[in-house]
Amino acid sequence: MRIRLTCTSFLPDRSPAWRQLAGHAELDVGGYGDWPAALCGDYGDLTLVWVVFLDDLLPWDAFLKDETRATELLNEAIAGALSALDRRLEAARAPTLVAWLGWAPDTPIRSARRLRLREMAAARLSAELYDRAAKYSGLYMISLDALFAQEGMRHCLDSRNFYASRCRLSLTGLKVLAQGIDSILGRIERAASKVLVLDCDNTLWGGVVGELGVGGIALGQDGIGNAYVAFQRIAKTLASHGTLLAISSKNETSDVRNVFGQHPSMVLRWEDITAYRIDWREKSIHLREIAADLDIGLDSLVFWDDNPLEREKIRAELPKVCVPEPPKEVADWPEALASLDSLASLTTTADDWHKTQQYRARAAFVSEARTAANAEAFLAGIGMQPRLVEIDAATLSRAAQLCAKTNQFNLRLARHDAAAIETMLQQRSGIGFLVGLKDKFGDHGIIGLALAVPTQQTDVAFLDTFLMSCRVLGRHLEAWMLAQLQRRLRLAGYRHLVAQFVPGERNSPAAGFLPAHGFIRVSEASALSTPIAEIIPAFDGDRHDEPYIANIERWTIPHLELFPNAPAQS
Amino acid sequence: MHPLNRKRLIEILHDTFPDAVFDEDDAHLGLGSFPQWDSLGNFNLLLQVEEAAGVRLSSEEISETKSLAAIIDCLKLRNAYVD
Repeated sequence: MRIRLTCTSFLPDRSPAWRQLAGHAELDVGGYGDWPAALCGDYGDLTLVWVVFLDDLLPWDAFLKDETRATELLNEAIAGALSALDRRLEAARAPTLVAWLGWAPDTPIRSARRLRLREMAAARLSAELYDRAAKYSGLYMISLDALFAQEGMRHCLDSRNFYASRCRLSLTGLKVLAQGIDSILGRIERAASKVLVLDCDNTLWGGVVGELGVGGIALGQDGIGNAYVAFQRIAKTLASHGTLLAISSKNETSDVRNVFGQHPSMVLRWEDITAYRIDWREKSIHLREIAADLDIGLDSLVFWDDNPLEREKIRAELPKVCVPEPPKEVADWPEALASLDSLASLTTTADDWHKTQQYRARAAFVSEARTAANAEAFLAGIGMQPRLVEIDAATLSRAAQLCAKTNQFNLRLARHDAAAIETMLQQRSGIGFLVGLKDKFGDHGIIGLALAVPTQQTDVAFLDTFLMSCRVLGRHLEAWMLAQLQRRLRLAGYRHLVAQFVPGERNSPAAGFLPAHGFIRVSEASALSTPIAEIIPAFDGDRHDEPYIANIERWTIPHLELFPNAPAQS
Repeated sequence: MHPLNRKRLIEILHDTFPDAVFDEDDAHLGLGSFPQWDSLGNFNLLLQVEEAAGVRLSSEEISETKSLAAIIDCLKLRNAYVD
């Protein structure tokens, strides 16, 4: 990724503050006030970060001449700046980040009875930007008012620097800005962690329940007990936004269950906990087993424990697990947990609200499937009701989320963002849909995505993306999804579908999928008159295995008998 | 405040200009001593020195401090330099 940084005033190139962005890519810092050229220029393939200081946009001379036109002038200035942004958003194929600051020092007296003009302008700029975010999926915002407030405005802004070099920020401000950009780019590149694994004693409550009993622990009422309540509230809020909660505790299960069941100040309920290990074994074993229960990778876990020794052991033994360092004061924990980047998502989709329930359903399915005598008979009896879901404005963010998060059953691991999916479907006439599923274990929400795109050979489509959430694997739902794709491709006039498996770190469950579902090697078919490198984008014969092909008319897909509603095969 | 010595200042120079090659013992080290130490590099360097020493230079000092010796003078004025 290449990043172009542009500002309404000046940002110093080569500042050590930018080093934390080096992990993402090459950084190019623009010159003083070059933002109109950067927004309107040919930078569509570069990630653009536009740093906006409201003070730089205000037409001060006109302002001072005629204060009666102040509101009008402000609106004109903001509209002018945003029209340049609109040009960028229409043309850009890479993300655009807007970091803006509306704040300026003032006495509280002027805003004691009325909203100041500046505040109105800042609110207008903010509203206009978020309106655009709803329209353009590649637009991301960083409110510097909020970000700098955490560090202190006076530490982040520096008027001396402004008059010396036209840079409005202090070194601290530059570092905080870089950190904000780093957080957003990190989340664009990689999905948030899925699970927060919590210790119990001295983490969810104060004290050791095994020694003090349910009535003796510090939770609620007065003093620090309220900090634990606040910490639990943040954990519960994270859960309602899609983070799964798990427990890893060296304790007696009955003691922990008693706190959950009996303590009047417990915010978390036992139903909020998706997986748990409560015993005296090492926590590295707990975490491995919790990850296996939920069928997710260790890099999807965040481990929060008050005990520095436990944290160090996990860091040493399971380096993929994210282990934040909690603040020394428990009073600071709620804020620290709420501010944790690793659990923060860019959007919350409707599916996120039901995550705990969906993963519990997964655990129930795995448990019943393990003991079933006949796997096919078991699956036939679980009442699967798959459904097709169109990719539209309401579901686009879920499609992008699945692309970002799905690791195991994901044929090519193409990490498309919403803008790329939109382009694929609208401008490139691709064929795509999402899949949802209900069965006797519950409503699993939207869990599958298929995207096929046209190729240089008009009767051949290429399977760009075919993925399914690990929560519903083991049901042969992939076969049903393939049958839906077959139907759509046939209706669109295609005769063949080319597909490939691109191995990654964790997608081995998808490795044998293509040959097991009616695809044959392209060399065994004589359907292609176009070189494979022109069919598959960025095909690398040295790195990639030979691709597969299916004849859409003669394609026999197995396991469809499990889905009575699946389209009949030709 | 965290007083700096010459060795620490040289480390800050290397940190600010990681690609620069220069004679650490040069008594005249300053703006122009190597290509990376230009006016923008000087600004970045002074901000780094301020942060490391926990001091703040005035507007005039930010404009006029252009050599290692001048930086040391600024630090000495604030009792932020040790030999």
